Amino acid sequence: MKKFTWLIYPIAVLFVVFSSSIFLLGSGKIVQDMLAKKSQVVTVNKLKSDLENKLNVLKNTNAEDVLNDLREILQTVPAEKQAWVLIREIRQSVDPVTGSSLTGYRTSDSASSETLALTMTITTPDIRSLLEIIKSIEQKRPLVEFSKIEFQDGLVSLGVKGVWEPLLAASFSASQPLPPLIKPVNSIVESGKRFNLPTGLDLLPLR
Amino acid sequence: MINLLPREDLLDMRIERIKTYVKTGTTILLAVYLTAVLGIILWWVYLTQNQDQATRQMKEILGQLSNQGNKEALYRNLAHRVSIVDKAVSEHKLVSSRILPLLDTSVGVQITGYSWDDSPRQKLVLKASNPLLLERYIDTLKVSFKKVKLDEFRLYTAPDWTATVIVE
Repeated sequence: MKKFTWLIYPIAVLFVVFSSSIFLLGSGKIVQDMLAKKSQVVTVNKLKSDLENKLNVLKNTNAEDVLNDLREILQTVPAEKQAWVLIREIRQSVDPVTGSSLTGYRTSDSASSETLALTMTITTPDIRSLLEIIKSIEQKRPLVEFSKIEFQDGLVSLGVKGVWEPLLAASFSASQPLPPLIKPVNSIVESGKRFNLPTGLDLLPLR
Repeated sequence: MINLLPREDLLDMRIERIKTYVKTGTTILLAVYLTAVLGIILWWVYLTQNQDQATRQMKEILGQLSNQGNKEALYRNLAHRVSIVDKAVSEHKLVSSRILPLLDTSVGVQITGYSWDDSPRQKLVLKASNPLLLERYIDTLKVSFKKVKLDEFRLYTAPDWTATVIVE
């Protein structure tokens, strides 16, 4: 018997190695857990990196500059219906054209409507004067869309729509990524340069 | 060479050699196994610590982001508005460019009526002292517009001739 005692060591080692291997790797759960853990770590690190980038963007963003940019482009598409601004725009375009005047306006939609549609009545000597008025309106901000033009012997009925879009409701979570700025604000402002910026608010109705 | 050892001693020597091989092999196996297990444990510990650290840092960043909430709201509104304005500017229709070709060649012809209702169709009421001027004007319209249809052509009040034309 004593002759085989040296075998206890290798047999015990083999037993421990094989039994623990079967216990650890047999069901495959440990391996799955390891891979799942690795995947979680990658996900968490990616999220952390994204949030860091977002934080850096926000830290490097000057709130005052963003506010100014927002104010600037709100001039082109306002956040609310501004009937008086629209009327002022039309009047500013009609008045300088010799022999032309804005004689009336009425809303084409109810006050609760999503659109800001007005029908303006204008007197103007001829179609060339009308074209001058239309060109002037097209160059103004906020943007104005035309829906109808009727001209007959100096009387014009002009259907216009004020372009507007409400501001976003501030419902977002800190973990949401920042939306990309599809174009730099400068380029938007540049592309809108043909639209003259009206100076100051003149809320006076018709003379 | 002649081996002078007795037969039993030779057998014992072989057994001892086998014992040495087995013990060495077992020790190497055990060492490799223990190293692998230790490696796995260390990897697990590393992953767990890395995850805990990343999670902790993420919470800190989220806290800092919450403090930047007002700035983020402004930024989101700006990004939203930029896409709206970009779309509005690119889709802004210039109606004047429709009317302009009607005026360029209207020599001797007066456009007394015009109507357009947000469609490709434009209606013109023309007046001229000579029907030939009307005809010539209508012919020039055919250069700028695909479709020119004469709707009405009559002597209105002498000497004025009128024509109603639809262009598309």
